[in-house]
Amino acid sequence: MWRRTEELKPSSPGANAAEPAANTPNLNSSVNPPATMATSSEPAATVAAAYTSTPAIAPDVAAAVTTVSTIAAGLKIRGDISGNCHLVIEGEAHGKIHLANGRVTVGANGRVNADIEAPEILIEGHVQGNLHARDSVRLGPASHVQGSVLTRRIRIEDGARFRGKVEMTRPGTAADSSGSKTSTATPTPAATPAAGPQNAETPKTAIAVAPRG
Amino acid sequence: MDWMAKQRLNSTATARAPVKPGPEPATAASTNLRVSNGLKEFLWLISDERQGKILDLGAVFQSTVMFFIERGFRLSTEDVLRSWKEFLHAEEENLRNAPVGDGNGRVSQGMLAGKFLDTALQYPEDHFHGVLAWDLFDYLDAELLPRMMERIYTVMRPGGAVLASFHSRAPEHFNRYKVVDSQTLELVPTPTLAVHARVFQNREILDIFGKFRSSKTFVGRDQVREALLLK
Repeated sequence: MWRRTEELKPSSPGANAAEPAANTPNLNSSVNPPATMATSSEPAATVAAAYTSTPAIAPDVAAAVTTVSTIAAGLKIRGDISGNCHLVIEGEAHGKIHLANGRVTVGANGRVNADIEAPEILIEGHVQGNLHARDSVRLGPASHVQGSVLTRRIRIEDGARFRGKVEMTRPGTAADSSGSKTSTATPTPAATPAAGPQNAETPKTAIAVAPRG
Repeated sequence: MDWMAKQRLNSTATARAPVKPGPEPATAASTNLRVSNGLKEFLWLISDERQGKILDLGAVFQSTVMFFIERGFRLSTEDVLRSWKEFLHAEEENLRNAPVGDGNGRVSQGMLAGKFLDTALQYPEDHFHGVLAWDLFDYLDAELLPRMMERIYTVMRPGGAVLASFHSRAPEHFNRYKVVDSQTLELVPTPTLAVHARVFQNREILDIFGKFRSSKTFVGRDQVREALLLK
């Protein structure tokens, strides 16, 4: 039996922001890429307020991007989604999601089967896929996530359900840069086309949806 | 890593050097806090592992995640008990909706356990340095328990440690566990996920961990036994 030791070695509600479905064209998977999804010019702060009961952890992201796109309830999208705005998902999304400069919010009714890569990720609904956030990830109390999380900061509300691995990055590390692969064994989102340099004054407002072949 | 060697080394070292006290445990102002000597020892056992991989088989909590991440570990979480409950519910639904006389009416507990483990605890062999299993094994079905033990044994590295808890009497409430500090847990009352299946005696605990090579148990004031086992 072991010796008893005294010392210890280790140091010691989201649907409110959804746009009406009428504002979002019904995307058919047969549409040739890139289909463009309409976006609203709703201030990002509205979405931020709706989804962050806790203080926003990356205000710079919200400040730089002013447009919000919504996949409304009842809408299903299959394919890769990339762009440079905030994205709110109340419907279903399958594929990959890559936002170079914005926040991905999966609302309480949202169901996502995709790897998500964005500076900031807020989850209130169901996600099956890996989350890679340059700045922060928040799992809300009703969230249900299956996949790995790679981020600098994470907030997990009591009641969140998570099955997977959590790894933290530090500023300046390879895994920290958007779009880069991590050196760890964490399954990371496949590399998506890197967006060009960000310009806060003239944000791109379109999200390209590429049907998966 | 050879845990026994670590113990011998540490024993020698502490004979020469004064023991550095660990962090003070959280004051037990709340009855929902409990001192965990098992956790303290578990941490000591895995402390030499750089970026050691830990598997928490309970609910995910911010404090637990950050506790291990801040110490350089990689934490994976899988709420096995909840998954088992949901799996059983889904199977019941399937049976209810199955046409009468299609031969699917009789499903043994063993079959259910096997089917469950086809999707649960899917990790590479010899992967984890440590496994946390508070309030799990004495809630499991008798058919599932040995299969799950086998799976846990498989995914653990040689020398890895399992920290598990067992009730000495049927608990009044169902709790989940948050790590508060290196020797304190917070019990979070939760709607009952599963019925407490049975009380294990010490001998039985050792039996279900029969493949593990070393064990140690701690009994708390609340009559909860913590078992620490090494692969």
